[in-house]
Amino acid sequence: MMIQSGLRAVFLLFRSSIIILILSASAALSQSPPSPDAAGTVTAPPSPNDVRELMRLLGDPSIRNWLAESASSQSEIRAVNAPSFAMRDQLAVVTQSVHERLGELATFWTDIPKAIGMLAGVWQSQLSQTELLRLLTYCLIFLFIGAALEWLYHQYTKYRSMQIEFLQPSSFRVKYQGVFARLGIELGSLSFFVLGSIGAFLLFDWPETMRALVLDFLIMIVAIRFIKLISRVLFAPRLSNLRLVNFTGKQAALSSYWFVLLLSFGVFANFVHRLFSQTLTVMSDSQTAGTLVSIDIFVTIIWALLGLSAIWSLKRYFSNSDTQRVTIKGRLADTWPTYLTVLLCMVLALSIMGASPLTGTVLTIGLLVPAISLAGKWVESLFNQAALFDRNQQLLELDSEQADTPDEIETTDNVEAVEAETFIQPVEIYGSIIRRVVRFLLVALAILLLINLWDINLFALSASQSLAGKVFDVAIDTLFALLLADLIWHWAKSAIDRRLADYTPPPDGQAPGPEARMATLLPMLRMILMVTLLMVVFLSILTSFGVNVAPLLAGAGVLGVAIGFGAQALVRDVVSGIFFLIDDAFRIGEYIEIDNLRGTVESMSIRSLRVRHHRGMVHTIPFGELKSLTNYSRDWVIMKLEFRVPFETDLKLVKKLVKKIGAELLENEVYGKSIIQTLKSQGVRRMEEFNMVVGVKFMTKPGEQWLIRRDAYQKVRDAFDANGIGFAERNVKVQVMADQPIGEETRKAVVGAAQDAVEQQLPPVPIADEP
Amino acid sequence: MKRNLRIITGLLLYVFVACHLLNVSLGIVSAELVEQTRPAFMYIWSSRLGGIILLSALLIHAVLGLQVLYQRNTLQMSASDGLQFASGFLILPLMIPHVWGVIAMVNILDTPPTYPILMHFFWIDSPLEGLRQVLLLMIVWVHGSIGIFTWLQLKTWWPRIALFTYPLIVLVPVLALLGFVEGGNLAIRNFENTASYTDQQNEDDIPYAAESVDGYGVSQDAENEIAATDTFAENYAYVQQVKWIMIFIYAGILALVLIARWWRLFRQDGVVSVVYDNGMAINAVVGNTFLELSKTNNIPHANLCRGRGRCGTCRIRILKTSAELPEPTQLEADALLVTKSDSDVRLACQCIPGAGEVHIERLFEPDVAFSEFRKGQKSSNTDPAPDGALVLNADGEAR
Repeated sequence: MMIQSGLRAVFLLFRSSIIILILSASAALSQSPPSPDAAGTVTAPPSPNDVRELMRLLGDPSIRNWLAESASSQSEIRAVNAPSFAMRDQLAVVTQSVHERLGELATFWTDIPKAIGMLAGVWQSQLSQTELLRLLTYCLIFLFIGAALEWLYHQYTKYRSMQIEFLQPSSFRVKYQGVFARLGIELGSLSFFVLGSIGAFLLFDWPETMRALVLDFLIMIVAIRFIKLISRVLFAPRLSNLRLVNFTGKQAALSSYWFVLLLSFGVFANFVHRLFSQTLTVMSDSQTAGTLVSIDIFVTIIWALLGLSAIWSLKRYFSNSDTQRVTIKGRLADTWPTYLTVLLCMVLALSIMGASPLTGTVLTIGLLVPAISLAGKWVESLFNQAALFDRNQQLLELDSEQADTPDEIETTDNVEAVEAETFIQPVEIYGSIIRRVVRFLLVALAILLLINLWDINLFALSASQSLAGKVFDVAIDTLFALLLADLIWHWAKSAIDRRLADYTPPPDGQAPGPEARMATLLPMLRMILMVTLLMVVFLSILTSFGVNVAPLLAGAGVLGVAIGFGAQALVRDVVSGIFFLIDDAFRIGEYIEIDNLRGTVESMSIRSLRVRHHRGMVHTIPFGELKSLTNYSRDWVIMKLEFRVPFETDLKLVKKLVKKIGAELLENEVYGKSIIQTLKSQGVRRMEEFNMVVGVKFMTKPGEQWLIRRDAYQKVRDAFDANGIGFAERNVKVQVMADQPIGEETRKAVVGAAQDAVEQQLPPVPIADEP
Repeated sequence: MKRNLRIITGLLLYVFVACHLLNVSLGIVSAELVEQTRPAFMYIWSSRLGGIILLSALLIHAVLGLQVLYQRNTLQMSASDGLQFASGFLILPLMIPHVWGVIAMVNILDTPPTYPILMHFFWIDSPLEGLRQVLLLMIVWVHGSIGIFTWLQLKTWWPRIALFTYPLIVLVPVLALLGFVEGGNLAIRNFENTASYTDQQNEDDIPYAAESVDGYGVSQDAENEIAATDTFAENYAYVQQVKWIMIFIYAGILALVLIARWWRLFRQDGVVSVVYDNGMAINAVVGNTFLELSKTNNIPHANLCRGRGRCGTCRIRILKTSAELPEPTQLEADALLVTKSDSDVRLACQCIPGAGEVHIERLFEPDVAFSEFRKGQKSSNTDPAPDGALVLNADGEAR
């Protein structure tokens, strides 16, 4: 549970950071210049709220129609916005825009020297020296106020954060509590900064230009600080104890450096872009547009150069060792710098060409593969961490146990067993599920991004009758169905397999535990689930292809009803079988009695129960036939034995002897442990004609009673023998009422008469049939 | 004595700045309020005696700072120390224009420095001066606060009131800055209103623009004083000149001190090698204290008072030495006496070893915490606290 919650949170964090990464990257790269007449494209990357609002509006059919109409009536380029899904049209639009862009670029290269001068001119016309200085003063003041409030916050939290930073986590939970406490403290710190800087700024009324500029500046600072915060929490360059990723100190420091630098530069570029687009709006001739293009291209090139240096400086610290390079996978993983370089160059070229959706597409798809593999590795390392912590803990516990028990060999065995179990299990089972979830979400995210980039209205596209639209529609549906089914199947399968792996069948002759029931039910469940999933996926794919599955379903329904009538008994067997299993009436390996049939449960199918008699016969009993059932293998068994002793026996002695024997039985190494209550005398149970019946009883685990009874009989007999207690024999006393000795004749007659009495026997009792 | 002087002058200046800032912070309400309450806040300081005391405190504090710069053997220090150290030398250049400007306004230019005039000057006539002013405020406050905290940290009563003091420390500059911004906004609004008004009246005759002089004396009614303008301009130029001369003199002194320090360090030669109790050894040029040697070589060494000879946590035992160790200074001797140290124990922050090899043992764990330290002190009658550690006050007396 703890691992799950920790993971969930970590995962959320990870996802959000990835989103930020991709968004900021695409934001920085996809800042297309505003072509003078494309009013629909917003030059500055808008705020998320605006985007959401825009998306909502774009989703509105009436707005779409209006856009399409007004666009088609004006110019060719506007056709981009119109919902034309024919391949040829789109291609034409793209080539057209690239062509125009090339023209722009040509003028850009010739205009560079002029552009800088012009920018300076525009800047000065917009902001006088005085205003610039004032701007600086304002920024300084509000940053200082933010820093002051943050310092104040720091004074009250520094001991806590110091505690966290010096934390030596003993378990996964402690570590992640530390990580999140740190995140919380730092977020609090940042929000105090925001409160101080932006909050103080908002206290005043400002002229419009000043307001926008100062606010943009403060927001930029806050964004950069947020990036830093994320990097500090994620990479924790100084605190290896709280690091989320499995990096060495050097790797973490370098990664965090480049992470912050690249993203901050993106934010900075955004700020510059806004700055200029705001100041340049006043002049709306083509020259200003050119200037903005030049700024954007310049910034993009710098960004790409930074990215390249990041890739190649990180390469040194992240290349695989030689041993890993032997495999193809290892060698492939080692090519990532080259791969990313090529990708970056492509993205750069495309963004210079101005094909902004294409840029985003290449970037998204290109980053998807490494992102998936990185995420997978990360999840794995998280689980390894957790396993390591668990193992350390268990080793510690074992150590303390070891202090108690001097038995060295056993403990080392335990250590190995613990290692083997805890090390493999979580990674193998949960890890692969989480990996799949991450992969699924990443792919979904990429698809959403792509849709966003191309501004595709999914509904309109799938409604359109073009081939591309159809294929797209089917592909998306199929992909999602498969991914979802894969996810569910993998989750269920690994959960079931885990439970099954936990189950070890009991050694021969021992009663199985309650988990035996699971061993019976789970494979059945797995099978049912697989069939259902396959059916659902198959049907949903068919649906997306446009096949009407209703008749199919109806047909299956009719068939089902027909079969159901025919197989009523079968259905009863199956259903009652499931309920017997849920009732836990019997498990595999238990000795049961049904009506007159007895035996050990050997196996269960979906319909019937197979019971083996102790003499070898196998009974097959359909579940539907079971009315009641006696289980001999549950919890405990009481066995009662009787001895007949003569009336003159010393009962106290008997009691003492039985007690002694009970103690002896307990000490037996074979069955001693199975005895729950050992042999004890119950005193005289009843008096009979010629003797007393002494009862003894004992309680054992099921299945052990026979062996113990055997020994108990033997020991009691020996003990009685040794102490002069004879077992009562059937004898007849004949009292002769005469005062002189009887003669031989008479004696014979008496014996003869007594013989009759002796031989008057009870009818023979059938021998109990016991295994 | 020197430390006492530094703290006293520093406190004096800090209190003055605090009063001044509190006064300015009333600008959030209105400019008039600042004017009206100024006598109340500045009463003590505006007298001639107060002015002299304040100026001499400033000078003494500055000279002491320069002396510390001269005497420091290494410029590597902790972040807050570094901030305080560096900010200390920035204060005077930033402060001279303001202080001298006000003095000059009263004494030479005969224009009383009122709040609205100053606001107009800082935000409209010379925004660069406004920027400087803001920087000055921040630097002075940070410098002063670090100094005061360092001083207070070793007081027994400090932890009890610390939590209540922090908000005050933050509130004063923040409110002052907000007051400054509000005053500026007001000034700008007034200015723009009058500007647009005069624009409509007569565009060619804007009297004050010609006179956007860099002294504090921009008066709106300059029109009537055309005769006086000449003398005013002369005076103003003189004031400016003096201001720059003062700044250059300070820069020159600073440069001289740096050169002298360099020369002092340059003359010292010979290598001292220090061997620590855990076997670590370092080699360094003679001239640094043991504590500085530890810190520059990243060897953990306890120093709660950060090398000011107050706490005694940096004490070391000299196990074996072939180097010459100077006799303890008065400060060190007092500290050693109070802590009842043996004769072979020295204060690492005061003792500068000569050339040779010294084997030392650090008497305190590097991470000795202040609270533990105090605890040890309280229970010192039963358990003679870690080597009789005691906190000394500025005079080296035990408390």
